[in-house]
Amino acid sequence: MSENVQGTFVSEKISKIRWKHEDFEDATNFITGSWDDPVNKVTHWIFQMNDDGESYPAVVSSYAILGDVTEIKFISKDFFVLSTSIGTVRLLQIHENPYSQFKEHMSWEFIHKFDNTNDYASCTGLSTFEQDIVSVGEDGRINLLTAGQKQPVRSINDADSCSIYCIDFLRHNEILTGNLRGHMKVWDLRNDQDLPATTFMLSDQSKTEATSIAHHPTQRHIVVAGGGDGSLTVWDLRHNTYPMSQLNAHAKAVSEILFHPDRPENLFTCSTSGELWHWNNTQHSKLSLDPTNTHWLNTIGTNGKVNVTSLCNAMHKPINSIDIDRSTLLFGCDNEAIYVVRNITV
Amino acid sequence: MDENDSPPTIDIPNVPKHLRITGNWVNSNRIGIYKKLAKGSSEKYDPTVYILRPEIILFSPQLRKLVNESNGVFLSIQKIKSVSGDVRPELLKHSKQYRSILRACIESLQDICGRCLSDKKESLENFLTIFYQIECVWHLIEILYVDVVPGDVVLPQLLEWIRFHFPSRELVAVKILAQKTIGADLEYPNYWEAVIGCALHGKLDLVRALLALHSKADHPAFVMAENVLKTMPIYNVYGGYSIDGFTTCWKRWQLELCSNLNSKAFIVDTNLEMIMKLIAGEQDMLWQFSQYTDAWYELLAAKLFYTCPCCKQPELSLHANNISKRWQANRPSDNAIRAVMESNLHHVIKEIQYMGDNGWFAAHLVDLLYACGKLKILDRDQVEVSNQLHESLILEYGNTLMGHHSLWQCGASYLIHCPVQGLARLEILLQSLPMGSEARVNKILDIARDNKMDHIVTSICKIQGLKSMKQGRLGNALAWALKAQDSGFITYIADQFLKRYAEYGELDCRDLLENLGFCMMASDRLTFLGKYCEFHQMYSIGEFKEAASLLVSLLVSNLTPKYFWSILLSDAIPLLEAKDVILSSSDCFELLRCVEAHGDDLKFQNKIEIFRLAVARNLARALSLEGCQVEH
Repeated sequence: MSENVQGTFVSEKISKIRWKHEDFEDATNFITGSWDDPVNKVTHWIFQMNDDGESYPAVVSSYAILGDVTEIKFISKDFFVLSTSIGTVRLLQIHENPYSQFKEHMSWEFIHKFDNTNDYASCTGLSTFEQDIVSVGEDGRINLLTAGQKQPVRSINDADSCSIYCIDFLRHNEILTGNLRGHMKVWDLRNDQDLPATTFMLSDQSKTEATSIAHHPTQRHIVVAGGGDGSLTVWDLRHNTYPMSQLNAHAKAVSEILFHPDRPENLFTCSTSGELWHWNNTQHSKLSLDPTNTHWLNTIGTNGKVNVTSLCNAMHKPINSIDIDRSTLLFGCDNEAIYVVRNITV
Repeated sequence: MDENDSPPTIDIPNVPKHLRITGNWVNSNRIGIYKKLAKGSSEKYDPTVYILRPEIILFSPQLRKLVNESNGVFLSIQKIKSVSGDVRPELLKHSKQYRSILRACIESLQDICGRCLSDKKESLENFLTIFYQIECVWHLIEILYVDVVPGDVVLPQLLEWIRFHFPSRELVAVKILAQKTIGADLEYPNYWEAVIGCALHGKLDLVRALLALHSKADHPAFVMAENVLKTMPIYNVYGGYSIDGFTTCWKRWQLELCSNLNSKAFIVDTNLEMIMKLIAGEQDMLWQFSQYTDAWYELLAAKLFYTCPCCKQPELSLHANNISKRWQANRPSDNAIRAVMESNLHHVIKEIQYMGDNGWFAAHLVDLLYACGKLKILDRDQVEVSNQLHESLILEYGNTLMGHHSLWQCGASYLIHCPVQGLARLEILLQSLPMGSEARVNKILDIARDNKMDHIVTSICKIQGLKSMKQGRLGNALAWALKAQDSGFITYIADQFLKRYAEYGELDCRDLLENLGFCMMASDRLTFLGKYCEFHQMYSIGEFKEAASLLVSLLVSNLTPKYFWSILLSDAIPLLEAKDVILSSSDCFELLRCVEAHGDDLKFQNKIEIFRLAVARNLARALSLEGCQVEH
């Protein structure tokens, strides 16, 4: 393992890892969610210095969660939403006073379930836009929630006849879902009809599932989706739904895609194959006016302008989640460890 | 296992003596026990089932770190195995990694043990003993088997090993020395204990420093002792002299010390005299000092240091045997260490399996030795069984992990590396894993795909498909069936769609069916379903021409299931009756042929007249239109 990668074994498989970002300084706190244990946990960590002056993660507090944690998203500095495999979405707060602990503010119980059998369905993902939350699940349902309200604002019950695997809030009124068959659907939330505005395919050749979606932080119409076969597909949704570029990237399913929030010319992807890649376009200066006016992601597969580097040796178990704060990246893995990669050049 | 081993006994509560019990395996490490009633018994039936399973300490949260971390090292060793060239230095590095993982585990256990309540403390202390012993044995094996000892003289490494594992008296010595008080023997009651401890570990510099702090340090006897210790020859491979040369030199020094002892030179202090006797190699003194040691191998190291400093590995077993027999040591770790010194690996492996660590030690150690090429195990008939032993230990360990709700991925990575039975075992165990969410299923599938178990992939996908069907989600069931690529199953699900349409007149999951693409070809029935869906799509957007040609091609395709003919034929009626002529004369002939062949369906009986009439009318219109077109 390279020198700037530090691992900590935590005795639970990590499904999600998220920085708690600070306004004007480097983040020191983060939270993790676990999966595959009878009772899972969401844990709050802090980086502390040990006697040798090395920084290491220490547990601040943890909170038991029934079912696997399937997604964690912060909606403000210390409030975050998490979804579980038993179809529940919870709104939690990292409460500092009098001592640090988790406080549950809202819980939407079993909002994903199979109507026929009344069994819970896994809530596979959620996305947030300010206080609005949208969750999707294996029941093919889309739930619109808002942080302050116990009742879902709207449920689209038969949004998909297959399991929905990923979701992204593109704009305040527009969401994009991806399902088990790689069908990508754009939903206009202003439309009362429970029908998608557009449907397009992740890939025409192989019918693989869409596993992860991310949009460009400043150009929200640029969308990247990862597939179950490890492929990455880029769309510019302003123009049409035909992919701008498509490439075979990882050896196995892409588990998460992440744009650097402040430096969007950096993209990070991780995979079930244990790979963690950094896609970087910094040498392509933003100031130089590109006559063709194509986005860098447009040409990702065709020319050599984009650097792809591996941030660590391939793990022998799936990497499930990544998050970055400035130049420090965290990732969680199925080998029951969390890793921190420092000093990434972005 | 030995023949005289007594199997463990477990009492099942609430079972009267006269009742019989019987058991069944639940899975690889669980057994279900229930009462069996004799025939005609008046006893009330008791439905209680007791589940027995071995306690697996590796599953406790404190030890899961060890399991996962060592899995990484194990996999890295498997990569080395395929590399040619001298891999020994790399393997030594990995052996040290294993030990540092053990150390970290012991430290974190000590940490938790200090903080926790008494009820848990007992089991934690138990873990501590187990892993402490493992680390000790591992270290010795690393010295004797993995590391390359220069000149095969093992004593320096043995002493290091002893010092590492029994540091307490040296720590006392260092504490005394730090104070630098003259007359330390009067100040500290454990002064002599520290001196003896250091002498037993061969730490002569510490012994000298301590003696210099003695209240009578200026006495000629102490000065002489200092001299003797200073001049003691210590063997060093790189010292530039041969073993024989060293032995002569050492023997001379020893003789001189003996004559000094005989002339009662050290009589001024009994403790000093005793220590000098030990240093001169007197057996009796060694045993007198045995009260200051915690294990027989501490004594062994002292004996070798003062009587046989150039001892080579093969000679080790004789000394080890003598000492351990007299000591009457018989903890599993004692036996294991003796067997290591006797170079009897077979026995070592047998002993370490009794250590209660659920096979962690045996599997990883044997794998390391196997990679080193040091594993040579012969069975009773002198047949080499190293390969089998190696495989069976790893197989068992992997099997144990596969029984855990979270560590199964880890377990699978061990099974994959068992060349003979591993994949077969993995195949069975993968199928017995509880499924859970689709995210989990996808991870299980991933392992199956990695190992080219196509039939497992198919069977898991089918199970998911059936589960979806039970939940009433035909679309999702079809998606899984397509993943399974099982055309029979796909046909079955496509049939369900068509039957539901036949019954309720509505096509489910249009979003999926309209976007099937080339997957439609996976089965004839699905092709039919997909095309029929397309027909509806065309019809609903008013593309009647397109719809009609789809319908006709469906009719002539011969893919239509029997129960669906009446629907297809009925669908043709509005097209036949449309304002424009949509169906050509040849289409009409096809329709007539179809209705002759398949129109005898009961459901169609009330429509058959209308159908014939519609065809006839359309045919008339089509013929005249076509006739006109020909003329132009």
